[in-house]
Amino acid sequence: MNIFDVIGPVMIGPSSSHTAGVVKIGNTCSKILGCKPKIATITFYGSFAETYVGHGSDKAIIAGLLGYTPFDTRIKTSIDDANNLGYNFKIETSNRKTRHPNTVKVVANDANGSQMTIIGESLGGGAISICKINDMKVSLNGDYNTIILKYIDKPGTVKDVSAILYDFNINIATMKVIRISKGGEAIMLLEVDSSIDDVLAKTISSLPFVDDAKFINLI
Amino acid sequence: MKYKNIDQLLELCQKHNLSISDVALQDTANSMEISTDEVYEKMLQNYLIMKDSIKEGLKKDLKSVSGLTGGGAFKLKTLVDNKKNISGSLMGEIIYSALSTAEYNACMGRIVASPTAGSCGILPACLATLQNHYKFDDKKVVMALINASAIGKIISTNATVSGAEGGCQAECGSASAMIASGIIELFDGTPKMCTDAAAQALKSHLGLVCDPVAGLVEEPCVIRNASSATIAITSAEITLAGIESLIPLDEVIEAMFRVGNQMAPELKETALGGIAICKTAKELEKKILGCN
Ligand code: SF4
Repeated sequence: MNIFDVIGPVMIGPSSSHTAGVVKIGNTCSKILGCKPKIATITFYGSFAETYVGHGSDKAIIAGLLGYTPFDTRIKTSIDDANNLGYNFKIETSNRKTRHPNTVKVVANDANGSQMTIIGESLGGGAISICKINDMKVSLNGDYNTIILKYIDKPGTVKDVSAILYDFNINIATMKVIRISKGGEAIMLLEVDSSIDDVLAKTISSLPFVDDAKFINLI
Repeated sequence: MKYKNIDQLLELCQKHNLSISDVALQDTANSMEISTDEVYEKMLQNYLIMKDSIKEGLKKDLKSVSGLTGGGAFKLKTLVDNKKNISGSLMGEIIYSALSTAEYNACMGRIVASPTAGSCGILPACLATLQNHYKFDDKKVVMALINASAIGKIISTNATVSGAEGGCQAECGSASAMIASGIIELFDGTPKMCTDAAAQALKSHLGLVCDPVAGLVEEPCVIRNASSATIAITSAEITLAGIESLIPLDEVIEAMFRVGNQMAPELKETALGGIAICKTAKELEKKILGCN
């Protein structure tokens, strides 16, 4: 932590968790989708469901989906902006219990037209975690470019992926492997320092053990 | 230039004959791998946004999304401008400036979380008002802000600055302590005096619960920003007069954390206790949430 975590972030009020964090979740969703979705259904859970009007969380998530940052003064008018630009965003609430009290789900089509479900949590102070993309449990804080691989667990996978990254001169910031069962399905999350281009994406996708791969340029 | 608590920070100041802000500036530059000029520049930007938030929040017709707050700062400023307030122009300006930023936050305005959005009015009010009245240059004020941030950093690493974890004493209390320290540096007090002023301010907040009506950062938050700013001034005043804190800041921070842990969850941002469950609060809540 440094002093700018104490004096900062610069943000649009009223709440770092219910406004600023929500903008960041929306913004990260658009990046994961690879586009600003024309149509989206947004579901608020827990504390969000109860207080989203007063905190402007609806304006915040829509602002984020439109690509605004948490300190964009246009957040206040995002709903009108979206309507004027022909976007169609629907806000719903649910009383289903979630792991974190500040949870939001976004369902929208990605750049290729296939439907995607993204679940995000606002952790406080503007920090977020994207915890689910479709049926993949992940954990993204939205601050790094990220590679998400779904693959079949076997020895050597980590080595192969890191060798490719080394060849492309890409530095790994963090790496996490989530295995559902030994020899079964696993997920590899890599946060990297530089942007991920198409050639790299293709090379990694064509690894024989990779089932599904997502490349998200967040910064 | 690394420090983990107030003791270590004061030791560094003494050993190198530096102010708290000098140490924090150097430490931040080292850890972020940027120059001290860049750190300063970044903090200056934050200060300019703070000043802007005071200005914007003073607009007459400001109303928050819920309708609970807004426009209060304007009312007090009108009194102060006409010399009709009780506590004189400096105190009057501190109070309306704190209201202003806090109300602007509630109205979805752009603010600097300091240390949180709920307590965003306290630091700007003290700094901008003292700059107005004593004609400090930006450099001096930004260094005071860096001083305050060093205290805040220690509080958030060794305790907490979040209302959900420690109640309002952790949010508004920390902000008040941070800027009490900053004010002492503005008036050329020693590093030890800075931390003494912070200790006085934090002590004055111990036990303060977090009880936002309808879960919104408005009532009582907006008013608390104003009162916490005045506590910072009080703490600085008595410290500059030579009154020391009998309990050192590190221990007061520890006490604040302990009290926060002892607080029932109902009193920590859940809106299940304090004024949030008063009859009128519940009626307001129904009215606001009714428009869902
Ligand atoms: S009452 Fe709670 S939400 Fe309001 S300022 Fe204090 S800590 Fe923040």
